[in-house]
Amino acid sequence: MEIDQAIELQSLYKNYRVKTSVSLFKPSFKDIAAIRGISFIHDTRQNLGVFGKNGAGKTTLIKMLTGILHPSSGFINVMGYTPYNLKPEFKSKIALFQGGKQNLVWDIPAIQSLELSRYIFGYSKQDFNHRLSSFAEALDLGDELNQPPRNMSLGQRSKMELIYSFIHLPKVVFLDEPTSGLDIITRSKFRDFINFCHTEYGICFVITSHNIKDITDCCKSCIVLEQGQIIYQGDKDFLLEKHQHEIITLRADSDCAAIEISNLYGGKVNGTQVTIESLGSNSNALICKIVSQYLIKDFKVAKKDDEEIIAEILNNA
Amino acid sequence: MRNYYVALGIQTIKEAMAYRLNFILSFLVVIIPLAGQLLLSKYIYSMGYQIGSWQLNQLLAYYLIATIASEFFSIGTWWDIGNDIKNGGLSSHLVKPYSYYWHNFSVYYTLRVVSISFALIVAYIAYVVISGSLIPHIQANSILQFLILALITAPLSFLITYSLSILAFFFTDIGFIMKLLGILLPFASGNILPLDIFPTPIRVVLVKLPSAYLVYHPSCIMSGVYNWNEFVQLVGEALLWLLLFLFIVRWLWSKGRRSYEAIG
Repeated sequence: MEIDQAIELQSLYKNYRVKTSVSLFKPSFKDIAAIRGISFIHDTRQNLGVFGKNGAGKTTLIKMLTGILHPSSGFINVMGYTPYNLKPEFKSKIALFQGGKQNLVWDIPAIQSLELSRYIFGYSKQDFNHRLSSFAEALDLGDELNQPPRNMSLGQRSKMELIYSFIHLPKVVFLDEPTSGLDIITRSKFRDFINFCHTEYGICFVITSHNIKDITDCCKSCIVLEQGQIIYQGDKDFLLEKHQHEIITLRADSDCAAIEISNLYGGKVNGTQVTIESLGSNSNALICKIVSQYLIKDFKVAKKDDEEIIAEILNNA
Repeated sequence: MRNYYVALGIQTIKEAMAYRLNFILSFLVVIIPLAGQLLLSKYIYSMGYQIGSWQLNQLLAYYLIATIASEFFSIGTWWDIGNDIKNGGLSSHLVKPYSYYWHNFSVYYTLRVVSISFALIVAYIAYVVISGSLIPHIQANSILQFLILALITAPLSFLITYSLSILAFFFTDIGFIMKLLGILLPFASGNILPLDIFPTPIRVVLVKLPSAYLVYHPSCIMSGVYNWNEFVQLVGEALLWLLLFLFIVRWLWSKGRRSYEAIG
């Protein structure tokens, strides 16, 4: 991996100074560690998802990767640049989109604000028109472009903000809670759009989101943050597979049989019904074993969805 | 990037036009205090009194110029910058390849150029109606001196405003600075009364403060008070203030940037 394609962090720390008592003469402060010595390398040819609970350090990490925050200590390099030096060449190669934040001017037609991007990043009117029509089509936008943001719904406004944040086609786009507050249709549209931009323009997205599907649908790699530390880094599918539980629900021919099965294989009994959680994907073998020993009238196997798995990982962290 | 600051200026004008009522009402903010000052001065002189060494015509011209100068060169905390720092809005500027300083400079002076063009007309009409004179007591030399000084005071007034606003990096709320300045500045800048009529110890200090270079000295220049030697000394002093505030802004910005917490 070339250095200009990598995001690299080594022993990165970030502490915030927080006021703990209010006093006119001598207020007291204490340092709170938001990021505690994290290290990883990521290839920007792939998207990266960041999972974590509230306060895990996701947004702080994004802010350090974009250069907004200075790390307290450690090494940070994004595509060959030290982000907090905020070199204009670096800033031309990245973009930040924070869900719910407003950057467009509230009272003038959105297209006029969008066009400012052309002057900031120095590309032609022809490129602007081409990209805008392509983005607008992918996000189902039409006449809304000529409306001021104050007259738009939250979904429309978020789409405009998304376009504004990376119509200059940077190499890496950091999305911090991009679908926060959006309805299910708009969320799905956002994800399709992210995948479209990744494939069509080769943009790498680094995504933090509490909507797990934003990450599972768009990213192959992920990291899981807990209290400022990385508890997993690697392939997202591997993580999900490793923590996958299958839930077997079966109906025995009698209450006695149900209790026996539950005692033998560890499950919950409700009359003749037994529910067993099976780690990984070994439920077939388990069912075969039970069926060979007992008369089973009916059974079904259900998998946990990604959201439940991630919630469990974070809860157990 | 220069194109961006021009495009931003044009967008700022469009945005200002979106708030037409605010725009119209801002004329009243200009005209009411000016009319009060002109009428009061006329009354005082008609009673046989005099303010300092000022002739009535000179004083009326002083107030006219002071009003216009304070519109253009006024200082104070600028809420846009303070809020950006306090609420984390600065983050979206930091990741874009333009200078936050020049971005705000463009918006700040575009708004001032727009408001001053209208304020000039309104203030002149008020002057003509109240003073009864069509031409203020102004010489060609004075206009030249005023324009030269304006080249220094325009960036100086922005540097002072910017340095006060970025104090938001260090204080949770900078509203108190705004309130304090709102009380002190009209006096300290010579907006209410020419500074030379204050008692000597106060006058000596006030005329050397940066606020005096924004309203009092430009207005005195237009009233023909200074000769060229005094003017050159004035320019030198204004340049020193400019350099000092350049240093202060750079220092505050670099310290503040490190402590910025990007809330939100």
